[in-house]
Amino acid sequence: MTLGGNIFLTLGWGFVTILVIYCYRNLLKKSKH
Amino acid sequence: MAKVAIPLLLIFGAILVIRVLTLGTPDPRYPDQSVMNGLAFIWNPNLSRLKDFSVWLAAAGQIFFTLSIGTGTIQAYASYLRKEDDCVLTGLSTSATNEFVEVILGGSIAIPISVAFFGIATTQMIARQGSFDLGFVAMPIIFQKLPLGFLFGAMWFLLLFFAGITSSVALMSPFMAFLQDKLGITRKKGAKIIGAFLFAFGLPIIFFLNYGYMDQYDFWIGTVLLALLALCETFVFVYAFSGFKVTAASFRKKILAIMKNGMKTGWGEMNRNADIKIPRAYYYVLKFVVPLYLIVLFFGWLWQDLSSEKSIILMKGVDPNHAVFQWIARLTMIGAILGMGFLVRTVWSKKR
Repeated sequence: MTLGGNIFLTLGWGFVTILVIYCYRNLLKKSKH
Repeated sequence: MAKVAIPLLLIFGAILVIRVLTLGTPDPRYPDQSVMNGLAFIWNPNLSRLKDFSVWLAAAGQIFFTLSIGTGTIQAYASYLRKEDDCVLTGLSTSATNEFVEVILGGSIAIPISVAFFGIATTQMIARQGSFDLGFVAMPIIFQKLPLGFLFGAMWFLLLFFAGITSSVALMSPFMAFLQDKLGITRKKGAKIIGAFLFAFGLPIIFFLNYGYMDQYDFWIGTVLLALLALCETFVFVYAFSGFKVTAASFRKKILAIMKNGMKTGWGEMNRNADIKIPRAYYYVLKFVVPLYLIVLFFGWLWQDLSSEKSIILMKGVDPNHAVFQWIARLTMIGAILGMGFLVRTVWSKKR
């Protein structure tokens, strides 16, 4: 894999994973209220 | 159904991803055929393709399909939200979950495993033969070569089945809502009508699969019309949403007033009760960038395709025996669109 590929893969997977965790933490917080 | 199907889909997806990523190079005689090269095939950027409008159109079609924007599904579901619900968080969670399944799980199964067993050239050839072949023809062959392949194969097809059945229900929900709310048809009767409709339109897809019948549906409905409908929806959301309320002395003044204030209603509704505020920049992105981008994209693609040797619109290079079936596919699509337009028009004129 080229450097560009590595960057895209890391950013793509990383961004999506962080977004999912962030959203579900917020949803959990909201459901507790 | 979805309460069981979606968690199972996630579990099966995760198991399959682990299986694929730990495959390495299945046949040491072909060191190029590895999972890593499969991932590289997906993720290595090829910037020269950015000049091609069809790539942008395919990307737009893909995103509008997966987020259910161009199909009306998200609008039908959104109509079930209560006033106090948080639109931003719900929307963001839906799209984040979807991207997780699609980019991380989906992107790490079919293409990497296919490259690991068949190599890049053959995978490209399989993918070019149509959207059906990779998932339904190549994958079973691959699973046969794996220890406990029958188990992974069963998981793969169950995963596809769950994804398919939940998507079908979602895709039909606007039609169902229309039958129930506008024509006063009961849910049971509505389901029968939709079932009959799908049966009639679905059978030719199976019978004429080898003639490119499904690829026509996939391309026009799954790509072009999605981007066009998304453009219409953007106009409705940005300009027409509050446009109905605008009163002005002349038509010109009304248009100017809508251009100036049109977005305010939608923006206000979006941010009501929202914990996460949408950055202001998106106000301008939605109002100007999205409509302009989609218009340029659509006309750019139209111009590029019509002047191309491999024009999809003009069916250049298609076997004449196949072309007949592909024209039938196109005509049935036009018929379905006109039929639905007629239904909407009838309901609309009754309302008035």
